Amino acid sequence: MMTGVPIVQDEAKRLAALRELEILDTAPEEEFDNILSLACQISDTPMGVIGLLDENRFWYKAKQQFPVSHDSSIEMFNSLDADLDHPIVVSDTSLDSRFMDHPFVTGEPYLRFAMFVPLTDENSLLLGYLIVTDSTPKDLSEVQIQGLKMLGKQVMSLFRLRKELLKSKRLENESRIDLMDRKQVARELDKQKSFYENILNKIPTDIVVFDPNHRYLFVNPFAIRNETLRKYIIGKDDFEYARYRNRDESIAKKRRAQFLEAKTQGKEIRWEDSLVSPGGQIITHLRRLFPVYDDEGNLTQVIGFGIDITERKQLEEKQSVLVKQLSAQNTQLLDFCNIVSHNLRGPLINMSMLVDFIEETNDLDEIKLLVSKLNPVIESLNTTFNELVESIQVRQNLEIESEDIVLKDSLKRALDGLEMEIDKSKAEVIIDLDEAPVVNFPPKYLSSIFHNLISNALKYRSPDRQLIIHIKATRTDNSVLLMVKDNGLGLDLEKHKDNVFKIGKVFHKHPNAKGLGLYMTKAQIDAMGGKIWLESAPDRGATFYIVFANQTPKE
Amino acid sequence: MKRVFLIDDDEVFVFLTKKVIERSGVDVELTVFSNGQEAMEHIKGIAGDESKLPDVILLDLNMPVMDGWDFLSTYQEVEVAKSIALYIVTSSISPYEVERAKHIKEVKEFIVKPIAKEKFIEIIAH
Repeated sequence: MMTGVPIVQDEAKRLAALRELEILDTAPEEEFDNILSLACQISDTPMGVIGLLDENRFWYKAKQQFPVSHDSSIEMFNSLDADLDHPIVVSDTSLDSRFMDHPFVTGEPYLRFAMFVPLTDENSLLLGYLIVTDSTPKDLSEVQIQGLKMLGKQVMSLFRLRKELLKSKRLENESRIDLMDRKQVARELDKQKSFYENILNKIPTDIVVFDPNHRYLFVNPFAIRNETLRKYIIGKDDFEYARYRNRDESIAKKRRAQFLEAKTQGKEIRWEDSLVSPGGQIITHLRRLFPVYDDEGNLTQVIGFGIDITERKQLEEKQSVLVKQLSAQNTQLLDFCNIVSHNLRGPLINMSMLVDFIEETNDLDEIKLLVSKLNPVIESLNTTFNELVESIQVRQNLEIESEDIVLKDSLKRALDGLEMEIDKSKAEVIIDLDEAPVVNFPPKYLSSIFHNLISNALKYRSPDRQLIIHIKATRTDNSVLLMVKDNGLGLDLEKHKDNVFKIGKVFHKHPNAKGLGLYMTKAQIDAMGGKIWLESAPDRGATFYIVFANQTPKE
Repeated sequence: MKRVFLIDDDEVFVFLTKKVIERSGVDVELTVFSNGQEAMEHIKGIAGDESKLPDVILLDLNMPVMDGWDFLSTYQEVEVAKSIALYIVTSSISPYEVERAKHIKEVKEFIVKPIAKEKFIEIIAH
């Protein structure tokens, strides 16, 4: 990288700079622990260290949830050949050849994620790393990375301060207190304070700090944008704030419950919060509250974080819609596999067996008999195949044109086509279409629907009584309801309700019952945004109801 | 002589099975039922009579009125006075159905149509 400082380190100079800090093997210090704790919070990781690269070990000045005091296998750090201005983020150590064999990856604490922020001094000498790490793989946002970089710089300013202090101590020892130096130390301390505030104020994350009684100690501008309100709230609680802003107390109550939960549990709690922005967009935040204790175990503060996860949320929702679509398509595919298996494979097997027999014999009469068996097989194969092709077309053809159709005409054509069967069965057809004489629908689909429903009634008529088919259309606000009712065999809906409109389902003893008709009918109605359902009981006839959607009444 | 019940609604397949029996040369008495219900009524009537019960049942799955699965669940409750080898013979290649058949101990084997002459001889020989 052009802007970076490559690691070409003068090892002797580097070690000298490190020794000058007189920090190796000193006790833990709160300042470093705090920075590390903040780093872990920002990156949402449980573990981390601030470590210094000694001659043959990596020594930890601060560590969080880390089981050992130092790491003696420092070869790994030599492979971190990135430039010194940019942290190294390893999303998954088990996939990275530099880390996969490291004892901390292969054994306790089984690290999978690590981010290394180089700690470099003003002479570009690499003194160590601020490291945050986790036992699960993850990615950090640009905001999190920036925050960690700032903390890395903060560690370095602690180092500088340490050097100054050491220097002034030496001067004191020599009884030559230099006032200028003291001022410099004070300036450095001020600088440090403003640095912290800078981080907390500029990081695009909501940050608040509460005292143990849920009163605000600190609020950053991302949590409350308005400066007057931000100043007002310090020392108050959510209830006072709600009253001040004339809001009801529901949010304050909710927040109090969450605060108490974090307090009683004694550990971090997190939850997702959705609200509608003034622009109407749903904004989702991941909110976290974690209690902070002093050395005696007393609760000193509760810190709250809020990160905007709207984008992630939207992505998740998109994915879930996609999964639903896919699984619906998958079900349809399975339906097609079913029909191929049951309705195409069966006749094909018969055909191939018949052909085998024909080839094996020389007896002409036998051949004639076998060939005569071929005809119905081919016919059934052909019908099934055509219906299958047609149903695929219905599912795919979303742009088919609707027209205004006179129901009576379409019905008459369907009845004419079935004239023979109707005559044979002496069926009576009652037609009542006056309330809704016209529908707007694809003509081809409508004829197919009439044909299927009437053939259905003819097929499943009762041998014990004359078949009566009652066809009636009624109008509701914006739709037309078509009823096709028969007094035939009916079927047990308890048993078949999920299967009525599926491919390849047959419920009656009938040579042509392949179960495709109703599947087609439903596909055609679904495609036009309508609805179909069935009411029936064994031996009590069946009534199909169809809703034709979007039927604006004609004046 | 072996007694075989064939339960299948596909008339052409029934015809073909008769041809296979003819050509395999085994001595078989075949009774055909065109759905599960017909077969079940018959079996219930002869459940205690070993001399009338079949040695082998060949059962299709996709049939009207009572399909193969419904037949099996009723069959499991009937006490027959004889050990009968029951084969599912279907054109279905659905792994779901194969798996479902595995859980029914009465089913000896799941055979995907067609039945070759050799397979038929093997079934009868057992």
